[in-house]
Amino acid sequence: MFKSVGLPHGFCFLWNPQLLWLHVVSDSLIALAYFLIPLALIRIVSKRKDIPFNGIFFCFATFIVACGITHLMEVITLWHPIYWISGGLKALTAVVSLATFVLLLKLTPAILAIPHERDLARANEELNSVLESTTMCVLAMDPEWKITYLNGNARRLLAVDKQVSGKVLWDAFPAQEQATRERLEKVMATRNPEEYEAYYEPLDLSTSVHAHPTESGGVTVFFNDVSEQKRLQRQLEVERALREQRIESLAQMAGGIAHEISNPLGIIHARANDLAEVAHEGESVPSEVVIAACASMLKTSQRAMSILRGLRMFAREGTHDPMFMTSIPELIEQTVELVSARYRTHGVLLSIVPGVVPKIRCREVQIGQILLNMLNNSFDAIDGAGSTERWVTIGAAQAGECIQVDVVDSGPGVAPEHRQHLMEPFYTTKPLGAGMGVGLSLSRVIAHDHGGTLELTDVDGHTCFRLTLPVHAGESEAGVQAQPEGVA
Amino acid sequence: MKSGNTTILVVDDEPELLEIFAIWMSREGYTVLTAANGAEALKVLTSTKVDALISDIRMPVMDGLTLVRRIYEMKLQLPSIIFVSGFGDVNPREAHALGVEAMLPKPLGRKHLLNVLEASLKERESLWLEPTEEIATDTLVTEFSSLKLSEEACEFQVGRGGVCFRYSRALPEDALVKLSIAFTEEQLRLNGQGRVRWSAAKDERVGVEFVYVAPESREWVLARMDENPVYSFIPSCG
Repeated sequence: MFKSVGLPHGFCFLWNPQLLWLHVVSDSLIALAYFLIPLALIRIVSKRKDIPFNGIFFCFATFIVACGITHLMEVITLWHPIYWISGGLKALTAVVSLATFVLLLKLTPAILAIPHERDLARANEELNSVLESTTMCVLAMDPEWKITYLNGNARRLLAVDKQVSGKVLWDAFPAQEQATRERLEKVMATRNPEEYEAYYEPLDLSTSVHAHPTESGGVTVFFNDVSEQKRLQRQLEVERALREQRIESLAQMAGGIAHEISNPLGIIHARANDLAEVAHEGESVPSEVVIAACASMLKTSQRAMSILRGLRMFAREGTHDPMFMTSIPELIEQTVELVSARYRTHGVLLSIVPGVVPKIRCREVQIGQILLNMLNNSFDAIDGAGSTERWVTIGAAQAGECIQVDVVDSGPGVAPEHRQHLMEPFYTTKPLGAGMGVGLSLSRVIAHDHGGTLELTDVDGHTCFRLTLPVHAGESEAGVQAQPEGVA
Repeated sequence: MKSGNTTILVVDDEPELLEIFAIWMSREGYTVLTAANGAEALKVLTSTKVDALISDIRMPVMDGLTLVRRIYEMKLQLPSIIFVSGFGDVNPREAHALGVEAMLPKPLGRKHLLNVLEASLKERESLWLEPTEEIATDTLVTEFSSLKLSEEACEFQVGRGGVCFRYSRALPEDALVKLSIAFTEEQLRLNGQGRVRWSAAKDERVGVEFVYVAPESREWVLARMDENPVYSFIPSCG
């Protein structure tokens, strides 16, 4: 059936060599082009995996190859009349071509639905404006940690411009905390989102961070500035600690204070009781006895009052009190009254070193709390040591533009290894439960608030806690004389 | 016994209070010695015969509780110890076991102090004779198989001024109670009235100061005190 039929096609051209070769060359070149086109298509499809409709590409390739073959047959039939084969191949080509046409018709709606580049650009712009306008900071990175995107807020917060794009995160922001870096690496490795808080030291920046893995293998980080929140939180913590410390000191001294107040009350009660009973019995009481009894009652009630005045140190925090001109020696006396019971019952001699200092502007409740803290601390140092010498002195003196309040104790001193930690919060050398250790660090915070310092030093080989407060120029009044008084 | 040959030692770190107490007691005819703290008091006690000690609790150098502990350890056998304090910070079980008879609050009136002092100096034979008319809030009924065994097991002990015994119910301090305690083996009963001084739920013990001891119980209770002299005012049973 596929035998040669009829004459070679060359006859039609009367074997005219020019015409013959024109056909041979043209058909051969067409066939070559048709064979090469599918290769180009395969190359495109293999490079752009995202291009859909691979089926139609296959059809196009087949139909073009088939067309190429028919042109090749045209060349062959010039000399060999294999018209059956040539016709069969044409029929096959026709089928493939029609199939391609049908498939193309079917795909037309889908192809028309492929978004226009202009639309894509607009959508991209819109998305970008959303990301730029969000109050959240957005930072995207590729799998190699290269920054691919940083929205406006993130640039503002991190103080960088768009140039940062393309840089590796760790180079762009080199001073990251180790913990932050580990978190991000974990997200990159596990592909699970993480939420955490980070601190970026160079900008003193605290952020709340959500880190999410992206489909392209990178990580996108969403974060917010929480520095202000953190600062408020720290402030609240300090205030809470102050409150707790106040309650703790109060609990520590409650017994002593009750005793201190009950003694004067006992004296007044006894004196009055005595006078009343004698009077009841109808005896006349010599006026000097009455005067002496009343003098004793007045003096004693005065003592109880001064203890009660000292108690206002616990009445409130004092953090937000306005600053007033305050006599430090008077404050020392009142504070000493508060602790004297505790000192006395444990046989520790507490004495005030007299000194003349100007009044200073301060929150007296807070300074009173520092003094109280210093005295309680010295007491604990001595009481714990059980040494034979048991005394503490407190006194104020002027040193240039400052007032110094020294609390010196006979205790064993502070070991060098404790010294540098002593003012740290919650650092304590006392046994567990004996103290919170928050006292000295808070006292130092208060001193700093007043523009002063609280430090540990030595006076004649004894431990000395020194509170230094500035005397503001123009605000000092006449010097105030501290009462020389041995209290214990 | 209220006369010049009764010596009272008053201990307080408050000089004015010491002075007032001394005036009150010398007016009543007592001989009064004073000390500013426990250590000074101990010095006086070791050199002089003292009938009663009235002491503050919170004092420098040596506090009141340490003082009575020393007295107990040194077996100084003081007939009467009274604590005066403005602050209830002493465990009554421990204080009574150490021989303290009464704990008085500050401020303290003259009459109150003198009444308690006088009562504490009375001879034992004249004590607990009359029932009080005050109505008891509770009746403590309990039974022990043997007096001897319960004493050995610290389940019942007689002191100079009261008893402690095993009792399962917690009782309020200062409550006036009726006592009805039976000992099967010895066929003895302790009937009377007492005031709850302490009650410990943890080991189920109660300390009761005698107010009245019924005639049928008097003899053996007093004999018990003589046979087995305990310095504790109310033993601590444990």
